Parts: sequence; structure tokens; C-alpha cells
Amino acid sequence: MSDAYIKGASGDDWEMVIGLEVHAQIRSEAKLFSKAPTAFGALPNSQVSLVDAAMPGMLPVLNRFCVEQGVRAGLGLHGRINLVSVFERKNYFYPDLPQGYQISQYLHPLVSGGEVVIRPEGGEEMTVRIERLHLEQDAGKSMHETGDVSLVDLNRSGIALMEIVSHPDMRSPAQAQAYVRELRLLLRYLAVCDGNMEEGSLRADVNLSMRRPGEDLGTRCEIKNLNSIRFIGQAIEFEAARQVELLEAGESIKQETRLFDIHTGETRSMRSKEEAHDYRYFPDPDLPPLCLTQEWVDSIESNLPELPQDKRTRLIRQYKLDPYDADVLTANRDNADFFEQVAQGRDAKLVANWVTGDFFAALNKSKQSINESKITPESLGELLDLVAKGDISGRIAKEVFVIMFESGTPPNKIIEEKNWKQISDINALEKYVDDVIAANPDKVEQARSKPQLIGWFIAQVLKASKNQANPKIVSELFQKKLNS
Amino acid sequence: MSEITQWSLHRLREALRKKEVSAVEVARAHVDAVGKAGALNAVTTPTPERAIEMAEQSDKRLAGGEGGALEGIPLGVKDMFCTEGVASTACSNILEGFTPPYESDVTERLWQAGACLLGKLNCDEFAMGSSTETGSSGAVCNPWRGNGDARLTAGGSSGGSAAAVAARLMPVSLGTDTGGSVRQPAAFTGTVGLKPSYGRCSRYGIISYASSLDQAGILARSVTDSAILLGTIAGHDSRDSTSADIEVPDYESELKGGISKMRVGIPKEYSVDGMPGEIDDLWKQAAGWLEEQGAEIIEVSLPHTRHALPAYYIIAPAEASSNLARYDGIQYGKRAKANGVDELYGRTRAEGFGVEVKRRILMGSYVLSAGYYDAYYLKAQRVRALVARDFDNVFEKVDVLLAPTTPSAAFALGEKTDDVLALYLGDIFTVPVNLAGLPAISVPAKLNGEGLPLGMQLIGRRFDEATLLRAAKAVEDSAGFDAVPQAWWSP
Amino acid sequence: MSIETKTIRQIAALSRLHLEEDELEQYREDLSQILDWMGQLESVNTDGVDAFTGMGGSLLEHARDDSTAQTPSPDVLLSNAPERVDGFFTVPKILE
Ligand SMILES: [Mg+2]
Ligand SMILES: [Zn+2]
Repeated sequence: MSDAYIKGASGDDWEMVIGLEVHAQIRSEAKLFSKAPTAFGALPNSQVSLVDAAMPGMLPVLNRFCVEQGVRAGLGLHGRINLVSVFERKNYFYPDLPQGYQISQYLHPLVSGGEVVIRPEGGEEMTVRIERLHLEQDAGKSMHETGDVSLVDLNRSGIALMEIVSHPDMRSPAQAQAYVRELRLLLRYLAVCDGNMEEGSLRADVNLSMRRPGEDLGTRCEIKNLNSIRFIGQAIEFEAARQVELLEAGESIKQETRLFDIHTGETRSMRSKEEAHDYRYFPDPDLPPLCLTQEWVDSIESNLPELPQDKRTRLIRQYKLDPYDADVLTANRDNADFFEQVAQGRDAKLVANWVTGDFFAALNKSKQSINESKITPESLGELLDLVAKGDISGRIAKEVFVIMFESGTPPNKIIEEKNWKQISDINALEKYVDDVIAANPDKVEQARSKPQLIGWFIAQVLKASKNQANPKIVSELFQKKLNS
Repeated sequence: MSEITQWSLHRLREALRKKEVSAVEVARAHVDAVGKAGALNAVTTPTPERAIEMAEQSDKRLAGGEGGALEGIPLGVKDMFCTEGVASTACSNILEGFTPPYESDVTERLWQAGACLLGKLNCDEFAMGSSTETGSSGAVCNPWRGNGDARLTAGGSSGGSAAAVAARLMPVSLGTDTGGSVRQPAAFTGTVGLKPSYGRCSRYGIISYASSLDQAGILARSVTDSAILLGTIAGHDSRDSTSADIEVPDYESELKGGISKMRVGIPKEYSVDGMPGEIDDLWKQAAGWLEEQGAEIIEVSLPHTRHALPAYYIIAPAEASSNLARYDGIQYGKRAKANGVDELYGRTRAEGFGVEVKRRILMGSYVLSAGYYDAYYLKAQRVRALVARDFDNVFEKVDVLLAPTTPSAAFALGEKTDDVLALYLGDIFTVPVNLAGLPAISVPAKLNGEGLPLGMQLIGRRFDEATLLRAAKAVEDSAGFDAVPQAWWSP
Repeated sequence: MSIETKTIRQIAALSRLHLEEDELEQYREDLSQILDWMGQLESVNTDGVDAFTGMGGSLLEHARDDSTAQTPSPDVLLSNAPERVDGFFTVPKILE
């Protein structure tokens, strides 16, 4: 895979080694250890319980739902659910961390191992191994924009996160991006995380080191808190080039935490995190070990939805879809459900074309999600049935669809109102055909030597019938009459 | 001095129910006593208005015949308990002026039962100490002076709670016991000190020192009074993940029934070099009392006892170093002038914490830091498991254990401030109980040769406070301890 | 066992305790003495003994459901804050 290498100024090949730590916010109403709500965009410090603000004597109480979501995610990643896991304290001082420690899982995470199958753009399908998934609290937010003070908002303090750590299995920005896309898709299928990167509910830390092909791992830098898939690609590209430049100049890489500047597209060292860390992890004495029963885990497993990878494979097999259509349809659980409902008993390839073609284009244009649309699986199915029965032509169907999309009116009604029902009656059509032949004797003459002129005749009939004539029958009629 | 302040909780309760006295009268008598006892320095934040106000409410309820279990009983609570609208500072400068908008679970139960708050009681800063000398309010003076006139420690860290009960400023009080902080002051002041099983009372709203060891405790002048109070403060609380969801017996009625056939263990390791002979003698005497009342005395061994103390002084500071990280001058409390965040942290904490607290934070950070964790923290947690296992083993053979509470009587204030280790060694008989989460009680048994109280300790099975209290009652009955300190502090 | 001044300095920095030189020396001596005394634990045979993990049973038994409760108003939440601006806690400016 030499295309995965990048070239330094010296002309040498360099290989990227990339691992990701993704922080995914669990879709819970309340926080991980308090009853404060988690809604996005509330007034500063308005969703902070006494526990989240680390008031003296306040104690954490675990949200069972969050554990369940962690288990769901772990099962979805094909990881091992540890029946005993332990919450530990990660001790460090920062103004957005009121306790002076983050409750996280360290030696005994909720989930060990797992994998994600990804299809990077322009590359081959590959497997990224998962090292672990653990539960932890989010910190608050400090803002440094104005004046000579920083402002601290604790609304995020204590929100439940799953930290999902991959092995350093990725070798290019495209792979890293595909990994995050696939992981986000999985978490959305499982409904454990909404995956909204702009709102911070999914953030990635990238660990990147460079090496010459075949060499041991180099020193890595961690780029923190990337909140879009595009930034992940940009940050990796910049950071890789920076490291190669240093290495080729004979300098060494300093292991450090770096920030990505979205305005310049560069990464820079985080001054505030420069000191050597010693987190002094130890089991949180306020929280006994988390013990799960296998029965509980099994019951969660039996309620898992079909996962994207499985759904993709099944769609290809069951509906004979090409991988591209299958990919597009499974990129969202609702899309796939919609497709399958329409495809029930119909020509799946045709349904796929309609859904991924006209329908998705219209949704995109109107910025609607599939569930917000006035088009239902039933109404689209009806429309396709009308085409199949020959009641309307494919061309009319596209016009009917536009009206359905806008108004939600059932296709039958539209056709009736507009009087768009296709004319398939031979006698009626024969009259149109005869009229055209009678009015154009010269063309009839030409058509005897130029059979392709038949298209012109059909067009005349369609025009005269306001597109209602069944073009197939009209064509047959012309062929018969012009050749006789 | 008003006679009312001499009454026990039990007697006050009867008098209030029979309306021989009103709750306001009771509250006034105790408010007065607190007001005159400034020399003891037991009360850091008196709340006389609140006490009278609450007593007025109690009188209304009593008049309507609907009083709670502690209706009209005035008491104080250690400054480790958060009390809504009343400064709660753990006797630390770093929490100067902190007034919580919430109430601890245990104190909430007190007010629900009709008790009235007399004030917040002095203690060692963040309950770290064994002499109540390290807090921001200064040292508590033991009401007992024995035959001399030196100022003695009331013990610690709940020294204010013990001194206040011994000096008849209140019939009962609340303390906290992390390594003996209720039992040792009780022994030094001739009071009863009860530490319930870990998980029996909620830690919600108690300022944390060492979470895996902290437990609310009771100081009283009789075993019966401590049983009554335990019945009120015990119980499950869903806001504390270490609170036990088990039934709370009626401890007061469980006191009846005697100790016939009860098996009492004498752990031979609870005897140390340099312990005064009179403590050893008292121990034997107490065993004799129990035997006379029908108990079977069995010598037992708790082989890891002597390792409990160093394990405790690793685990407690480790937890404390983390628990106290929240005091940084941002959300509440004291804040130093500083340029930049790191200086804000460093100076706020330097100015806000006292010497002993800093020492324990440093110790705790050290034993948790990279390279030392295994040798200290992890080793200590393994030793803790062994200490707990020792108790499990002996409780297969006996129902309670009998041992001294402390290896000495009260010592002079200032005597051990420069010898940290000597102070720590005073906790040798109390600490193992906390490591294993067991209930224990100190009962005053006699005055020593210098006229100072000595306490005997009973240790029970986890959550079997009922048996423990019955045994304690037996010791109390035989000891007949009725000495009262001279009220030298009262003008 | 004697702790180096450098170590105490590191620990103090980790603990965010600003200490003067004479305090550093005092704590160095104290900790050296205490850790020395704690060294006796080395002699305890703990082979095959699991570390103590608390007395609370399983956390799941103490867990709660995903319902929310009203949080204190920002005014109440910030009522004890030594400094605040417009509903925010404040600290001296942080340079990232
Ligand atoms: Mg804080
Ligand atoms: Zn994390």
C-alpha cells in the first residue's frame, strides 16, 4: 500500500500510525452521576446539580441507563463486556473540573476489545481493532475570549461519556475519517449517542506518530478535541507534515498534547498542559465496583437492532443491491427502514433508484430528514405501483413525486386532479397516431428510409396527449402503421 | 447551672412528653449553658435563635400530641455536617463563610424528628486529628482536669462534640468517626461514643475526609441515649451509593434482654507496650463484669491488628488528598489573590489549609503517585483486606469484642503537636474497626488514678448494632460511671 | 527512608500547595519519618490477597434511573462563589 505513504522533502517514504480516542456523549436525559438535565444550549450554569458543582459532602450516584448504553455500544463493537468494572478518580486540577478529579474507568473498563469494519474512501475494506470502551464524566467548559478572566460554565460537568479507544491501526487521514464515520453510524444505529459533532456530542482525539516503513513506532502527539470529520483529516495532514519535517531535520518529536486551530488549519502545543502528568488514579471510594450479571447483558444483547455492517451485507444479498446503494441506504437507520418498507414486494433496484435518487435529492434540497418528509413509504410505494401498472408513465411519475413531496397529497388524487392518467386504450391512441400520420405525409415518406424518425412521431403524440399517452403502445402502433 | 441540662436525652424526652417542661425552656437552658462555656471552645457557631425558634415549633407539635422521636431535644453537630443556611466549614479557613444551600441526610433526620440545633461543634480541620487542636477555631478544652489543673485535650477529631456533652451543654451530639474520632474523644471525656457500621448512616452532606472510612457517630451520656439517637439517624439514603438498604431495628427496645450466653471475645493484640497497667486492669475488670452477667469470655486473636494503623495512615490521606482537591477557591470558600490559575490554586490552598491537612494531602498524593502506588496504596488495601478477614474469622466464634478504647487517658493540649507519629499511635485501638466497617462503641468505665475518665470499647458484627448496644449497656450497668466534671469553665 | 526535596517539591506541585522553603524541609522530614514507619507493611505477607474493594456491594444496586430533577438556579449555585461574572464562575485568564 505504497499510496498510504507520504514523501518527505528528502524523498523518503513515511508512514502514518494513527489511533483514535473518541468521546461519545451518551443520549441520556440526566447526567452520569447526578440528576441534572443534559439538554444542549441551556443558560450557563443552569443545568448544574450540587454534585456537578462539587459542593462539599455531595456524592455521586450512578445512572443505570448510562451503563446500559455503554453495554449496548460494547456489544455493537463486538467487544467483551466485563461483568466487574471499577470507577476510578483521575486527579488533576483545571478550572472546568470542580471536583479536582474526573470519575472515569481505568484498570477495569466496562468493555475490552472489539472491532469496527471500515471502508475508507478510495481504499479497501479493513478492520480497526478497539482496545476498550469506558464510561466517564465530561468536564465543564472554560471560555477565554474576553477580558482578563476566564469564565467557567459547568453545564457539561458530569455529562455521561463513552470513551472508545482504538488500536493504532490506521495509516491515512481517509482511514481515520472512515473510522469515525463508521463508529458514529454504529452509535446512531444503537441510539446510544446522537453523533452531533458540532454540538460536541462526539469528539475525537487523534494520536499520530510517523515512521519509515518497517520501523518501530515513533513518538506520538495527541491532537485533542476534533469536532468534525473534515478537521480530523486536516489536522492529521498538517501534523504528519510537521512531524516529518522535524524528523528529517534530525530532530526528535516531543510527546505532547496539541490543539488544532480551525482558522489556520495548524496544530500547536497546548501550553496549559505542558507539565508532566501524574493522575494518581485510584478506585473512587464513593462508588463500589460495578458488577453486572450475564443475564442482564444477555437481555440487552437480545434487544440490539441490526447493526449497519450486518444490514449492509443483508441488503446486498436480499435485494441484490450494488454496494454503493447499500452504503447510501444504510448511512442512516431510518433511510434503510424506509427503503425496506417500500421494497417489500416491489422491484428493489427500482425502489433503490427512487429513494437514493429523486427522494434524497429533494430531502437534501429542502434540508429535511427522511422522517420529516411528507412522503411516506406507503405513498411512494403507491406511486411506483401506478407506474408498474402502466397507469402513469415514468415521466409523469417524476412530476407527481414533486407534488407529493411538497403537499403530501396521495399520488392517485394528484393524477386524478391533473387528469394525468396514462392513456393505454388502443382505440384512443390509434386516433392520435392516425392524426399525426395524416397531418405529416412528407415525414411518413421519409420514415420509410429513416426508421429512427419514429421518435419524432412518438413525441408528437405525447405532446398532443399532454404526456398521457402510453409511449410503449404508441411506439408499437407507429411501428406497425409506418412499416405497413 | 440549670438542672435541666443535667438530664439525659431519655429523661428530657419523658419530661417533654408529659409537659413537665416546655421545649423552649429546655432550649433556653442549653443555650445558656453554651453561652457560658466559651472557655471550652466546644461550639464554633452557636445558633441560639434557631434553637429557640425550632423549640417553639416543637412546643406546638407537642401541644398537638404529634411530636417526633426527638421532639424538643436540643443538640449540636460537628462542623463536618452541612447544615442549610448555617456556616459549615469543617473548621477550615478554606471554607470560611461557606453556607450550604442543602442539609446533610443525617441532620435532616434529626430535624424531621423534632430536634433543635444549638450550634456547630468544634473539631480538627477536616476531621484530621486526634486532639481537636488543628481547626480554624482553635483547640477544644476537655471539661475534665483530673487532679491537676493543666488544660487537657478532649480528644479528636470530634472533640467539640464530646466536650459539649461531657460539660452538659447538650444531652447528645453528632460527631464523625473515620479512625476513632468519636470513640477516642468519648473515652477522654467520660461520655459514650458510638460509631455505627459503615453504610448504616448516609454520608450525604457530610464533608468528606476519607470516604471509605467516614461515618457519622453519636456522643451521649448513656448507652440508652445513643441507641435512641441511632434509631433516628440510621437508614438508607439513595443519595449515597455506599448507604446500606437494610432494615433499622428499634435499638431502644433491643437494649432489653441482657447478655446471657453472649460470647465476648478478648483480642489479645489490643495491648501495647507502654500502656498503663490501670488500663489493662480495667479491661480485665470489664470482662469480669460481662461474665458475671452471663456472658462467655473467649480469648481471640486478630493477628493483623498492628498493621492496621500504618495501612490507615496510607488509605485515609490518599482519599483525603483527592477529596480535598475541590477546595480551590473557584466554586466556594476562600480565594487568594493571584496572577494566573496555578498561582490561584497554590496560594488559595496554602493559605486555606492548616499544617496537618497539608501534611496529609502531601502524604496522600505521595502514596498514590506513579512509582509508589503499589508499594503503599495497593499494599495498604491488601493489608486492609487481611484486617477485615481477621474480624470475619473471630466473629464466627464470638458476638462482640471487648478492648480498651485508647492506650492512655486524655493528655495535655499541645503535648503531641510536635510529635506527629506519637499522635497517630493513639488511634491504634480504634482504627481497625474503621478499616473493616464495623460498629463500635466506647463506654466510660472509671476514673484513673489522676481522676481522668477511661473508656472501654466494644466492637460488633457489621450491622449488628443491637447486640453491640446490649453489651455496652451491660458494661455501663456494672461500671456505674456517674462522675461529672467540675464546671470550672462556667463563670 | 529519606525523601528528596525534589520529590516533595513535585508532590506539592501536584497537590497545588504553594510551600515556602522552610515548609518544604519540614514536610520532607515529617514524610520521611512517617513513610519509614509505614515501611513495616513490607513485612506483611499479602501474597494472593486481593485489595480491599469496599463494603458497598455492587454499584448497580445503588444506581438510579434516567430521570432528571430541577437544579439550583445559577444564583443559588453561585451564592458561595468568591467571584462571578454574569452567571459564570471566574478564574484568572487561562492561556491555552
Ligand atoms: Mg473547585
Ligand atoms: Zn476521556
